[in-house]
Amino acid sequence: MHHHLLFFKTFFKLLPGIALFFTINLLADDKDSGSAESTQSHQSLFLENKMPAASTCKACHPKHYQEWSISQHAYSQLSPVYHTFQAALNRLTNNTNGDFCIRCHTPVGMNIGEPLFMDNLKRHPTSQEGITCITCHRVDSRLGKISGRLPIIQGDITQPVYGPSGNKNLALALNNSDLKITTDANERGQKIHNKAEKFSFLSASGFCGTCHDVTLVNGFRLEEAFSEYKSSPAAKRGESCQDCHMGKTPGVASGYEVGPAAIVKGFKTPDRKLTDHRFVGPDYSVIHPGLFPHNPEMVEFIGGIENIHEWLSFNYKAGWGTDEFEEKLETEELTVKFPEVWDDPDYRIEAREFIDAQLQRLEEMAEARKSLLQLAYVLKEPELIQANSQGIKFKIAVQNGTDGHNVPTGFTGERQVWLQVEVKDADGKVIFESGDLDPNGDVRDLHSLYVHNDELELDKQLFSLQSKFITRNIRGGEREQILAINHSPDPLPFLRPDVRPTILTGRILGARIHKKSIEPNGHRWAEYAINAEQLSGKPPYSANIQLKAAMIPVNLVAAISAIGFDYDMSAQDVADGVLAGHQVLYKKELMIDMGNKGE
Amino acid sequence: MLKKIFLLSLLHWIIMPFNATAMDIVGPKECQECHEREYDVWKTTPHFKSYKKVHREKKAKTIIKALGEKSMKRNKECVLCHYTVIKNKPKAGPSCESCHGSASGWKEIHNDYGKNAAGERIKKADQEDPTHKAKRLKDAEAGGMIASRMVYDIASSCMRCHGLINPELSADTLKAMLDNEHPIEKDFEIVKYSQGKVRHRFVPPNINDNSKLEPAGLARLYIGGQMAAYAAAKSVEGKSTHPKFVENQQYRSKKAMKNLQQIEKTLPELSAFLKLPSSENAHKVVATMKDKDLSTAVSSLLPKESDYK
Repeated sequence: MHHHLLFFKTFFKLLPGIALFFTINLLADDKDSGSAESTQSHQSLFLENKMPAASTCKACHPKHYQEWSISQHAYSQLSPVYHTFQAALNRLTNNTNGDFCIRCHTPVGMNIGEPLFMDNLKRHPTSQEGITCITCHRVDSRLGKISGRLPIIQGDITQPVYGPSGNKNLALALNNSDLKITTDANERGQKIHNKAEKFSFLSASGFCGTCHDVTLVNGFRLEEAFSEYKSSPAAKRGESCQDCHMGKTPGVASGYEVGPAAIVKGFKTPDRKLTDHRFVGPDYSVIHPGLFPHNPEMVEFIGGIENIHEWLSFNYKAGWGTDEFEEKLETEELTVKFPEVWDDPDYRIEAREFIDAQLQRLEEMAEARKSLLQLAYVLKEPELIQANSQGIKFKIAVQNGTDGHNVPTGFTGERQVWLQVEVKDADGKVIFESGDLDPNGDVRDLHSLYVHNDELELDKQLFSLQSKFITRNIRGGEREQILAINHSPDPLPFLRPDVRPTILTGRILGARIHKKSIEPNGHRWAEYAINAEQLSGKPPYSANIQLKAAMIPVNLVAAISAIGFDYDMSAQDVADGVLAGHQVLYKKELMIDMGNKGE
Repeated sequence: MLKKIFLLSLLHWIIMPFNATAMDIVGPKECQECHEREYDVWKTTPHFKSYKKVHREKKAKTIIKALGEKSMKRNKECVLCHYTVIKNKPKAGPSCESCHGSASGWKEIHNDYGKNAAGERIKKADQEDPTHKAKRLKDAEAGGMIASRMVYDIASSCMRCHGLINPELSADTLKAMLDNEHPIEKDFEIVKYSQGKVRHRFVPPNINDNSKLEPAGLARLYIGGQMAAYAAAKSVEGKSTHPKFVENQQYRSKKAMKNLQQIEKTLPELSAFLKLPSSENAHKVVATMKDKDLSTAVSSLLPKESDYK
């Protein structure tokens, strides 16, 4: 009986989401039919009240806000790669992929009936915030592995929120009659939620599994972070996702910081466990620093969220607003035709201060990302197997540095972690390379456009942990695909389009992932062989081995680029951003002493 | 001559009781916490929008050039009226404190309704003890708050910028401004300018409604505005010899005097003010107007609602 109740409760919670999917087109049409501007602004005001923004929460939770503002959660809907990726999949599936991606990426937008595809900067302000405060803190039930589509409880800022510790500390603030706060939307004073409902599931790994396990009815398992964790040694020890990813040191169960969860008009609530809301992960921003990290002061500076796109025309890369640049303008060494918004030097100088601070924060986050990845992977010492006139052989092991899940985990089809190896002779001449990049910035695997076009050789010894999508072809064979949609260019394409909506299955029948990530505590050997013809005859030789990480391969950008990218970005801009985020996690040197090994 | 300048500057201080300085402005965001609705209105006004526009106007560029300066934000005199300066940085167009006075000295006083018998903070204005209210308002005013009911003072705030009255504006700057078509708004009238787009009357108990000012209130505001215009124009007599300045300020004072003389029949307290337009005399008039309905006396003078800015 109890189970039945739970089922019905969950079913009815999901109902709006399901109904929403079928009404999305309807709503979109309705908006296009040109309702009066005033009605729209009323609507947006109404919705802002029902879906409080992170910048509202910031007033009392500055620490949590600041951390979240640079997190991948804050970036989730802004990401132009994700945005175009989703559109590309929908294009290839005659739109039957529906809200498959966006239901996790912008739960707010999906809860209020926004179209699947639109200018991101025209979305509702809270929708633009992606996985924002209310995505987790306005949810009140265990939804299971539903692969996103969270039903957010709507209500203005004075309505209850859901937290791990309940109402005790909030009550102290609410009962403190010195504080000029109010829980009544019609009273004057800083508005504050009237209750913090205890929702202990928020601290459980299963809560993360609501999104971080994308498993589908046809057995296709797109992302398995939570499933991997469930059978891991870390789970056995009782460590949770939160313990490692919201604790003191990202990636390690290292305990939590302690401090006030809120500062209400100067009143600090009693110390308690504090969680890190940066959620440091392998992704990084490729968009203009005017848009990310989330920064309400910059929104204010530009005159409100409706003008946010104006940041895009601020050419920070050209040095606008720096002393050097502005001096060149004054001495007329340089003439620039500025867009109207930026034609005043003072506005440029001020904008520059904002941008520099943003870049500084992104730099700090890149360091945190690198530290996390260095905990995720261990590069062992290289071992020489053979070094003589017949050739050189050596191997090196890459080990999973954690026992909480595979590495890479999550969207393993995107994650690129590989070894770049270069062997030089005594003159410094390169005699062997693997893991080097083609002019696009891709490794030379089957997805490299240069390899595909036969302009570069396939890197047969490549060590890469990127999982690959495999799709079944018409004659039953399989092939690797960048997008797991069998839009094969073969003369007899296989079932195109698919006969079923892929919103339920994620991919067409017959698609799978060839998973290459390393299991908890596992390791994998990379072996390299250089034959006699490749030797230059100028020993000693030395090998430089680097373990590198990127969030996505550039070929993914190319594969989806027909859609175009948001924020006036070209595919090249996006690729440049991806490449700028490449990180070297470890470097090893191997001196190759000829004649000591082998026959 | 020196004596005259001294007297004039003394007069400025009497007329402009609260001369906002950049140091103690808290900024509109602080006000927004409680006055969200007022803030939302502000965002639709030319005051707000000017922040990103005003410096791009052709006039602005020629004036800046004439002054040998680089930009409005860096010019100390432009900043006086065109920006809200927070911690020495022009951060917004004219905002809350441009008219209501720099708030650091009164913000925490004006929003404290006191506590009830049970020791709980009172959150609704209509539950406040009348004695507490009187003291609160008095203290806030002493701290520099210019409430809307202080019709003369608030109109003086507006006039300081709209009438080019700001005492910190030098004659040289005035010349550069007026030579290059800076407006001087000789017909600036407070009711017309404040009850249109700028109106933000979310007053208890209906704090969700932007209510219109009732006729008696309009009359008081109008009279306060005329006194402010008269006193302001009088205060700058002799400040600049620029013909445009002299002509327009004379026009302003004559017009205001004529209007006030018409009301004088119903409100004889105006006589003293017309003789000596000091803020003391103006405040006396405001005090006598408090409970009077002068709407009939000013009805022929009030701007039409359709003309509201």
